[in-house]
Amino acid sequence: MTDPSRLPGKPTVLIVLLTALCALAGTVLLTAATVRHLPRRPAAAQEGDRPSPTPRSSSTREPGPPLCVIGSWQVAEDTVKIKFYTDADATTFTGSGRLFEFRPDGTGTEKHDNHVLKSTFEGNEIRIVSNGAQDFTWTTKDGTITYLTRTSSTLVYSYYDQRGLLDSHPAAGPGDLYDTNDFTCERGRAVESRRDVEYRSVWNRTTAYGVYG
Amino acid sequence: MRAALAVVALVLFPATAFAQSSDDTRAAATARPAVVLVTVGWHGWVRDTRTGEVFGGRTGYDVAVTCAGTVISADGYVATASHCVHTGPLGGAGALFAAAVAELKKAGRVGDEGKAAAQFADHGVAEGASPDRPLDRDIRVERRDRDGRDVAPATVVDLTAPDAGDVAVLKVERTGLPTVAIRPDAPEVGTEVTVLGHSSTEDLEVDHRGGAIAGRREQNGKPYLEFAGTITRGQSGGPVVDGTGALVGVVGRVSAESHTVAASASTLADLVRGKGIQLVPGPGDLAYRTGVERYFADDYDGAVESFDAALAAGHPRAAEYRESALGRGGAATSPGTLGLLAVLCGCLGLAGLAGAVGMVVERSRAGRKPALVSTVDD
Repeated sequence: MTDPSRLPGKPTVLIVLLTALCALAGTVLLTAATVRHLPRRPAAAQEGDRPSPTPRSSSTREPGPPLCVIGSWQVAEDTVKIKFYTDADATTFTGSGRLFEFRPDGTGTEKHDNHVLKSTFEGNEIRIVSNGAQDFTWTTKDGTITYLTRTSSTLVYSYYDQRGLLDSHPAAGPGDLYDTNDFTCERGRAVESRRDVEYRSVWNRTTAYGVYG
Repeated sequence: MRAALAVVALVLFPATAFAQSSDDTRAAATARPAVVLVTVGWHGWVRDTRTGEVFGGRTGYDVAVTCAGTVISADGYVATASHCVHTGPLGGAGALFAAAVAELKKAGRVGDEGKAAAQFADHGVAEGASPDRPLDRDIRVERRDRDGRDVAPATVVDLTAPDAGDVAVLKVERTGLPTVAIRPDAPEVGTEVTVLGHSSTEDLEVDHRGGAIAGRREQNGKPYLEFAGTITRGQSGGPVVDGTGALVGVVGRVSAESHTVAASASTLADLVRGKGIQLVPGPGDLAYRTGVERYFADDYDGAVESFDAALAAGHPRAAEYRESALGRGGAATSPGTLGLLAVLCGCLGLAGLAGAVGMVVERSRAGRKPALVSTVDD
């Protein structure tokens, strides 16, 4: 049985009720403040509005001739086996000084200015002296160079032995060549060679053509 | 104890922009969030118009150039140096010419590199897969945001020639970006300025260097600013800002006198005029700048409050600076504490309500019982 004298009075109930309401109101305010202080996401555009870079579509171009071949060259050392006399075996000639120019359009020029190839036969010096120039077309592939056609020529060859001038004649005129040699090129030096005629030619780059700066 | 916490925080965040407290550091702090990395990928071939020789082989040259840039409009407009994005010999074509010179040098076809580059500038063209196609240009703008690294493709809105203004405006499809203000008037000689750029393209870290305007010059009718010292690679195209962090120039090239030359911000202002580009700072910018001001006034509590407001407005770089302010003793109103108080109040309120209801019920019962007892007793 409850003792009515121990029941809370009306003021007490009101105080408790008001306190509870105040606490609830505080809850609402604090919750609002908490939400306001929560870190927010940046107001950036959505992912769908943020385009990313796309890879570039590939494009190619038919390559020109090798960079290293293009330019002007001077022969530092020529070695080649040539049949000088019709009734004797070929002998090895040496020389230097020929000039080449290889252009990116696949044309080229070879110049001889009193160019001399020397050898000895039975103790006597024999010589081939050449003057003039020839133009040609060329191409390279897999370590070889092919002279395709001779487009013009003013070259004249003169043959000497201990007796003096034996013969003199111009080089062949325009026509197909299809003359293929091994060819290596690195920086300022190139080497052209061909085994069957024991030909080897070492070239040094000059600044006359194809060099920048 | 609070002091000890502050020391710990400083140890934890030593590399933030606010590690020092000087004018150029303040200017840098204001402008830093708007600094972006501009990467331009060039692809193409080089042709000598005299000989027809084409350099670049089958696949062409790929050259990447990095510059700095500055966001000038929250809608994704970025200012940088024209030479970073221009297709001419002072820009992308020049980059491809340099690649050709490097390749020719390996082939023994270069005497003097500088003269070779000049020859290409005079007689070379940079082009695409055929002579009638332009070289490819791929511009990307990179920046740090709250999610990490954001890379956006960019287009050129407009530019001046590299030797007549050297400014360009790019556009990225982004919004809400932090910006810098453009100061349209030219600062006087002697005005202290700060140059910003990237010390590292890996983590997009932005560094800065203080200096002063050493002179003003004109080239092809366009104004430039000069200041002593050279620039690092990542600073080209970046902002030159005054003490308030406002843009006064765009970093260009190094002059023959070893001065850094910057395009005047007035050239940039002329370029954006009439293009509908909104240069008004957003609420995040304003709050962030206020935060920086408060920070350097040693009002760390206020700084934290402002950085909080900047974060709420979506400013991507305010968080780290807020941490720095906290590290210096700034206090934040913790959402965790507020939440705990809210829960406690809620519990108290519910308990009070329950108590009050209980009291009312008990009083009601007590009020009825005496009548029943009286009946029985009778």
